[in-house]
Amino acid sequence: MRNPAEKKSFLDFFSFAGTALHEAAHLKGNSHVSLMVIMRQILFTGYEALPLISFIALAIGGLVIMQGYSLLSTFGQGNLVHMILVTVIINELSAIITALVVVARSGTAIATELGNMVVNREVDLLKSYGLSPISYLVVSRIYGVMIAMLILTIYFNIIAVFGGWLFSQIFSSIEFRSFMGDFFMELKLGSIVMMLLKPLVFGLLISLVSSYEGMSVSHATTEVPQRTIKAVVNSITLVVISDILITWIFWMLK
Amino acid sequence: MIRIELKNFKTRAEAPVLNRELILDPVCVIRTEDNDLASSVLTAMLGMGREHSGEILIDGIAVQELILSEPLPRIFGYVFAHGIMLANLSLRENLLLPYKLIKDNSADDTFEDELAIWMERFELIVDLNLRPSMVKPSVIKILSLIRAMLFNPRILLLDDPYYLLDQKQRRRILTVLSELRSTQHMLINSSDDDFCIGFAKHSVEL
Repeated sequence: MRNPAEKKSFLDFFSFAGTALHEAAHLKGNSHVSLMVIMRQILFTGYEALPLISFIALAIGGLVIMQGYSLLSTFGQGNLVHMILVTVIINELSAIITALVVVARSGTAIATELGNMVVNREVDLLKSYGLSPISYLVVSRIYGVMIAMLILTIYFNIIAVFGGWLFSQIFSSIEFRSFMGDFFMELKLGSIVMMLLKPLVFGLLISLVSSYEGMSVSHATTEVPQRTIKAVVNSITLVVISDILITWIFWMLK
Repeated sequence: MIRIELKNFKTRAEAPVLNRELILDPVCVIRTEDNDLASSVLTAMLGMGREHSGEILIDGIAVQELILSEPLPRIFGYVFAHGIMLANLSLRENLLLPYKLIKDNSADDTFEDELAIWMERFELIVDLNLRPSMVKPSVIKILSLIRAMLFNPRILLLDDPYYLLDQKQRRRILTVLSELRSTQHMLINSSDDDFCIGFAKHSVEL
């Protein structure tokens, strides 16, 4: 017998994503999107993830500086460490590490919560009010996760750069203002645009995939963990693929 | 009187085809050997459930057309057999959610008044700030009926009204439904003999 959890096809995801994006784009005329759900999502995905993001960002910033400095100083190029900080953290690591944290915390939570809502017929209840579950549950989460991802990524960068300066004190005593001045010299417009674009795309993908997997639960509670695992795996896969694509597009535009 | 027609209606691929007419004068109780079939008829009227096929007409108008004409809770007040509520909202928020979406926010005062009248009618005393998981399923069930009635729906769809209720609550709900019988159109799914004997003059076997 076929597992009901396996019945959904890849095309179903595109149909779901199309509906969700259409409803998200018509936010003004959509009274079913709940501001309360958006705020709760930002609070959970963004605010409550701050301690973990702070710890990782501080550590990554420090490690990149330590590795970069020890490598570059062997060639007498220790002053280029800022370039590594921009290239590695601002362009790449900040968005992808933040995305992994958001997948681990919020992606799993969204898939589990929506899956349980389907099993407990709470989604049917919304339908009985004439409410679109996609508008009420999914669109709010898309906005919440995208906004939270953007804020968290900017925060990650700030803390990582600060961590980089903190760890750079081990090798040479650099004044903070001078360190930041050199850093901003290396920071190009392309890096800033990429830093802002990536979290929005990743947030959209994570919320869409997690919501789709949660809403795909049909009857049994045993499907919920199966769908949550799928949400994590598929979210990470799509985040990595989109990261490569965005980086490649920016590299081509250079 | 409301006439509901089921035309070539099937709840799922292997289920029998139904071609029946249900007259709500103003109450009709449907009962089946397969309780799921009657439940599916009720949910299909709301446009829920993807597996059913065929057509449902209400006074000659297709349900799909009818539900576009005005907010769904004003047409159908659906009460789930389990009395479902959203777990992450308090009881009050649950009752207020459809009310806020359909009526505007200025209706908050009338909501409290109407809610108090219905709770008194059901002799229900409960702290509405609690979450659904903190109260008995029977209380959720009665609150679900109240939630549906707050909109004065054209048709009240009741799925297994006695389910989850104790003897005292059954008597209470029977009294309220009997009082409503003269004014409120109701389509009820029940296989409970006590309910059918006590409430419906005749029931329709699907």
